[in-house]
Amino acid sequence: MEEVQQVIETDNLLRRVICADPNYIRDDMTATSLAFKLRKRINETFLSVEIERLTTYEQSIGDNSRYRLFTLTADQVRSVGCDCIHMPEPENYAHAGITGNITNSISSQLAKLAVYINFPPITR
Amino acid sequence: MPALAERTKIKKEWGSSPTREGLVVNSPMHYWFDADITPLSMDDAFAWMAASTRFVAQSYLPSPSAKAQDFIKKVSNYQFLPANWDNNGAVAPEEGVISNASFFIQAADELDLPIYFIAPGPNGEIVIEYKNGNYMAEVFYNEDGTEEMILYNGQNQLYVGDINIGLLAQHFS
Repeated sequence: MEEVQQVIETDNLLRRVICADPNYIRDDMTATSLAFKLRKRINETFLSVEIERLTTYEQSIGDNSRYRLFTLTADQVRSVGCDCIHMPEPENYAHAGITGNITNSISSQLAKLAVYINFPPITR
Repeated sequence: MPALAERTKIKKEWGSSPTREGLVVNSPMHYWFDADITPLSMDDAFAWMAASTRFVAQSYLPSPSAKAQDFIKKVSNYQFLPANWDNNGAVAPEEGVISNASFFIQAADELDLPIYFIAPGPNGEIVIEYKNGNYMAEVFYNEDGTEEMILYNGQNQLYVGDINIGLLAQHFS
């Protein structure tokens, strides 16, 4: 079994956000709170993220025609009353989960804290 | 003098007046004349006072702005989202959620509220967002029939609770 690591305050967490139609990214490159909602249909109990130091943007984004990455720190996650726990999966060691009572208000706060990662780079 | 109890839009023969400021309506009889003086008729009273204003109530059908119509069309199209549209089990919003969201967009448009963004959630909810500078609002129509509104000034969450269009209008006033 892979070693479970401590998620420290300064760890950057990567959240994959859909940018296809529907698009969860606004024109100003901020994410709507829907990007941080639990998916009840698949009985999600935590928000899946990846610990940036254990992965790469390319691995994390998956299909870059449908997704973009946003980042926030473990400290920011904890500041809204949630926690972040390393939950390695067989094919994804970087996988972690944001846990807590994830209401609309919390989803909204997490979205406001998240910052867009320009990957793949958009040249203007 | 009492102001209008609620913000509304005054439809005039040549257009409409927004009501971002309180509109005072009172009887010109008491404003321009001593209460004991009774003119021959109300028409005479208006004819005498060039600055008087007559309001004629007429009903009209609200016509959403082009922007609101665009958002209403988007909401309506959410019913056509396929099952599992996000590859993680997402479902399309149900008719009731779409209907409620559409009505709200129209009602908010009547008050010229700055609609900004809209999207369907993975569970069948819809969020409607309003934004003007640092002021922002999120209006949730949830899949279980519940509703919620969150108001922001910058990063500060000012309100989390039931949808209240009066409060929303005040937030952007």
